[in-house]
Amino acid sequence: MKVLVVDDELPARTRLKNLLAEIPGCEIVGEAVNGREALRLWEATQPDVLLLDIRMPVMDGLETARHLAGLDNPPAVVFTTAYDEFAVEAFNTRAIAYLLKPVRQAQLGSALANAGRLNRVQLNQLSEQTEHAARHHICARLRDKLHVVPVETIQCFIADQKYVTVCHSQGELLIDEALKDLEKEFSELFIRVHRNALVALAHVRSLEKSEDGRFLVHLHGHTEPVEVSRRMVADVRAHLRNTR
Amino acid sequence: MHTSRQLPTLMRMAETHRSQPSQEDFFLPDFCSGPVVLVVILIAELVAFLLVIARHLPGEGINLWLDLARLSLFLQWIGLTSAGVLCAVRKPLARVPLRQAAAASFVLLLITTGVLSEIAFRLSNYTGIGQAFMPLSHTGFVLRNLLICVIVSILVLRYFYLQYQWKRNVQREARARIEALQARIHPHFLFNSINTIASLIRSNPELAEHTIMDLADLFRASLKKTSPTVTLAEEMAMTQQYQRIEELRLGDRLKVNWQTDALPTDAHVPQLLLQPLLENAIYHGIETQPNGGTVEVRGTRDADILNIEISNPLPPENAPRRHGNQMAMENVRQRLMLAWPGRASLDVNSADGFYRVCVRFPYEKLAP
Repeated sequence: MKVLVVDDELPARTRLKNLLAEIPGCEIVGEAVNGREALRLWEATQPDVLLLDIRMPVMDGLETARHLAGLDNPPAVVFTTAYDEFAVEAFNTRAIAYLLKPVRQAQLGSALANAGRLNRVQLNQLSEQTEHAARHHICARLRDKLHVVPVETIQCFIADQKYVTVCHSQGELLIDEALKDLEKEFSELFIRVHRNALVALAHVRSLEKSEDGRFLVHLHGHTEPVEVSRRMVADVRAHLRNTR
Repeated sequence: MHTSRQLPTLMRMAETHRSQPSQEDFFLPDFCSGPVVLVVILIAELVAFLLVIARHLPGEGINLWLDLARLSLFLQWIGLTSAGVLCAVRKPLARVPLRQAAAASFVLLLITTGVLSEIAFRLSNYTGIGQAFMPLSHTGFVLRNLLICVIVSILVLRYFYLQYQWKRNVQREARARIEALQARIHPHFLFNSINTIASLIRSNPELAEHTIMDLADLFRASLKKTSPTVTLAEEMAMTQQYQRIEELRLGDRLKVNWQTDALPTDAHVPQLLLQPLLENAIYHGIETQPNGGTVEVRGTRDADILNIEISNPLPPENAPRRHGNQMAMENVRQRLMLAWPGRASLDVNSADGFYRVCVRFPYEKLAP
C-alpha cells in the first residue's frame, strides 16, 4: 500500500512516518506540506492512500479531498486533525475516515485497512457537505497531467457545449462543470456577463461599446474581450462601480 | 512612588469575598464601623421626625422643637445602643443559619427597646423631666415603644438584608466576569503540542521533556481562576516558552523578532497579556503562509506609558479562512480595562500587508 503523507508540520509528518514504518506492507511514497503540493505529488507517486491534515496553508485538506474526488481513479483519504471540533463532528455523522492527532498506532492500522473500502462513499459525502464553501483552486486534468489553478489567477469561465473553458494567467483548461454551479460557488468574485460567460471582477479592465454596437468586457492579461449580453450591461456596470 | 499591587477593584472585591466568608458573608453590616453608625443615626432621626409630625398638628401650642429634641435624644439612645448590641453579637450570629440570626437580631432589638423605655419612664418620673410628653400609663408607654420598634426593626433589617444581597450579586458577577476573562489557551494548540511531543519522544527525549515542562507552565497559568499580576519579565519569559513550542512545530516558518530592551522588566502586567497576542499572530499570520514569516514584538516607553506592538504578515487573501480572532483580542482588551480602567488600550490595525496589535498601559512597579 503506497501512502502519501500530507501535513504542514514537520514533527507531525515525522510521527506519522515512524508509525507507518511499523505497519507491514506500507510504503511511504512521499510527503507534502500542503494540498497543492499533494496534488502535484499525487501525479508522480500514484499513492493508494493520502494521510491528509485538515488545517494547512495554501490549500487545506478538505479542499484537497474535493479535488481528489473529481479524479477518475481517486486515492483513499484519511484525514488527520489535532483539534477541529466542527470537522470532527461532521465526520462522525458522515462516517468519513479521520484520525485525531496524536495518532495511535492501532487506529492508523485500521484506518488504512478500511480506507479503500470507505473511499468512494466518503469523498462523495465530503463534496456534498463542503459544497457550500467556495474552493480556492480549480483542478483539471490536461493530457494526463493534473493542473491546479488558484482561483485568483482565473480571468473568466467560458461555457462551450459540454465543457467550460477556464482562462487563467498561465493558459487555458477544460473542466467538466456547469457554469451555473461555478456562478453560484464564486458569486463573490465572478459575475455573469453572458449566457455562456463569467468574468472575474478583479481582472476587468474596462467595459466598452464596440463599433458594431456590442458591449465588450476587456480583461487584464486576456487578449480576447468577452461579450456582454445587452440585458446584463446595467448589472455589470453596477458591479464594476461597486468594486472600484 | 507607586502603590502596591493595584488590583482592579472588582477583583479585589471578588477576592475579599472569597477569603473571608464568615465575616463578609453576613447580612448584618459591621455596626461598629463609621458609615453604618451614621446610617443608624439617620434612621433614628427620621423616625423621630416621623413621630413628631404624626403627634402634632401645626398651630398647636406645644413647642415642637423641644419635643423633637427630647424624642431625638431618646431615639438616638435606643438606636446607638442597639447598634452596639448588634455589633457585639455579629460574630457569633454570622455562624448560625440566616433565619435564626435574623430572628435573634429582631428579639435583641425588642429587648433593647423595652429595657431602655423602662429606664426612660422611671427616669422621667423620678426627675420630673418630660412628664408633659408622657401622658400615657407605664405599660402603655413601653408597649407603644415596643410596637414602634417592631415596625422599624422589620424595615431596617429588611433594608440591610436587601443591601447585602445586592452587594453579593455584584461580587458574584465580578468574579464570574474575571473567571470568564482568564485567557484560555486554544485546544488546537494543546493537541498540536502533544503531537509534537509524541514525535520527539523517540528522536529527542530530552527536548520532549523540556517541551512538556514549557507546556505545563503555560497551562498552569491559563487554568488559574483569576488573572494574577506578574512582572513584564515573567510574562515575556512565559510567552517565549510558548514560542519555543511553536518553533518546534513550525520549524523555519516561524521567526519572532523581540525588540523589547526599552521596556522596564519590573513593570507589572496581568498574566497572559502577551502570550495570546503572539498566539494570535502565529495562528493567523504565520501558519497560513506556506513559507511562514516573522512576528515582530516591539516595545517602547513613553515616560510612564508602555507600548508593545505585535505585528504579523497578513494571511494571503485566498488562504483558507480561520476563525477565533476577535475572542482573544476582546479578552485581552477587557483584562487591560479591568487592570487599568481608562488608562490602558488595545488597538488593532492592518496596513501595508501587516496586521498590528498595539497595547498601551501605565508603568507600575510591583511592591517589593
